[in-house]
Amino acid sequence: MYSERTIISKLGGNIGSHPIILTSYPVKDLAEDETKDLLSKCLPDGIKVGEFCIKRYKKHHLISYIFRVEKQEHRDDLFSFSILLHKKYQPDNYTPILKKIIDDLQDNGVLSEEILKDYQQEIYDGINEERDIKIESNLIELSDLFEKVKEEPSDEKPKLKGSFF
Amino acid sequence: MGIRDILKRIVSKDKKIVITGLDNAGKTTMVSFLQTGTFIEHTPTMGKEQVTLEVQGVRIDLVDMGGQRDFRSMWQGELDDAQFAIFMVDAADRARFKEAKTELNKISSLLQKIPLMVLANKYDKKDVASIKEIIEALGLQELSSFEIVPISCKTGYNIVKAFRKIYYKLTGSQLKKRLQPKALTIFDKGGVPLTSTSSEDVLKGGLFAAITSFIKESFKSELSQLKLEGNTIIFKKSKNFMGSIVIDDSEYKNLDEAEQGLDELLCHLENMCPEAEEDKIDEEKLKFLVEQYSTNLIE
Ligand SMILES: Nc1nc2c(ncn2[C@@H]2O[C@H](COP(=O)(O)OP(=O)(O)O)[C@@H](O)[C@H]2O)c(=O)[nH]1
Ligand SMILES: [Mg+2]
Repeated sequence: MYSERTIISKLGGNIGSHPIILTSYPVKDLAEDETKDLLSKCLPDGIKVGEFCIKRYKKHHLISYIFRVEKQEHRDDLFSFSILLHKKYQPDNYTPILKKIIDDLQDNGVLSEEILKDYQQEIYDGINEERDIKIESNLIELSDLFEKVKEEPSDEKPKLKGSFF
Repeated sequence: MGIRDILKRIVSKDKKIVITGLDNAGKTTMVSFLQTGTFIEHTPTMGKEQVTLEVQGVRIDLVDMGGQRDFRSMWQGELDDAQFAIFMVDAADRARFKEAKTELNKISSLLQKIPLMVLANKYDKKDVASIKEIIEALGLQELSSFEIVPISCKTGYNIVKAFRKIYYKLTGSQLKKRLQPKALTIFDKGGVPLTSTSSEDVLKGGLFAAITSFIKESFKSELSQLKLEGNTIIFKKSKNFMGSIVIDDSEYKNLDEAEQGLDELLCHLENMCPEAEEDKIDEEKLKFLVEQYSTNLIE
């Protein structure tokens, strides 16, 4: 698959904070307008932990998975993990991959803001190369999942099924 | 907006309540307490969330607004077509009263058209500001009208009381009178009484002894009700606790409601006291929880 960008946004749970884009990879510097537009699509109003959200962003699908990160000093915060995917792909197919990455990090007790920042390149490359991702000592096995979602881009004619054809 | 839409608005009994207040005041926690009957820890609110409750035939849309600075400009727009405004303040966070006052002032012109209820939240905490202090700090006396009620969205303290008032202001009619239990007792799973609250001294004399001995009995039997001296006593078991509620025989028709109230309390206690699972009940904590929650059951 080809993902143009991976984006992590957070709402900010402490007093005086506000929603921000935590990381955007590989495009790092975003104009103010772009940040605003992206944020409103990565973390739309009323979105809750565990939900997916699929929006259009320019020529892309913007797919997000919403999760929580536990904080020591403050209350837990709301995050989204998003990827920009070319519109020829079927976005629903990729939601399990986003979920798998975040849930595995959570299950292994390493889901934190720092990890997400430090490993943004590994996550981005892993997704684009459709391979497993290694974060600290944890291996997140994505290759099988990618196998499952292997699909023809949707702008090509669907394959016809059935023995008559 | 089409004709059908207009008609729907006139005919339907939908009411819209907008919940405002600074971030971290407890707005989302209240909405979920109303939905689940107990306390759940939340992440902050992105923008706004909307839930619909049905309260005695009236559909109420609760719009829970994000309190962070970026979202406060949205309050006005939501309040425009609302029938009621709630402003929630963290009563323990004196350092932010000034900020709360500023935000309240920004919407005060709208509040001349719709009633306002200020909820002084987190009244389970020890170091909360008094109601008088909050009225002064927020400058509430300068508003044309307001009401203020201390509540806790952690323990459930006064939540029903606050919503009875809101319902009345919203609909002009009183919520159906709830039953008035006379007493409430919580036991551990061995049948040892841990805490009691009562509106009169009904638990003095023979009644309490009868209840405690009956609780032991009820382990063996399937009995869940007992009639004694003009009272009906209802028993219920949950995983780690047991509860009994005493109602007057004249309220016998409200038995279901009493049972449901007791059930909700037991669920809440199970949720708030996970340590009971390991038989480590903190009696002081339990006592406090029951006392706070029972403001919804016993007046
Ligand atoms: N002690 C206590 N904490 C509360 C109470 N209500 C909410 N909280 C906590 O206050 C924080 C903010 O709650 P939340 O409902 O998200 O606030 P909101 O920003 O106004 O929606 C959370 O950590 C809650 O657990 C309460 O009545 N008592
Ligand atoms: Mg909230």
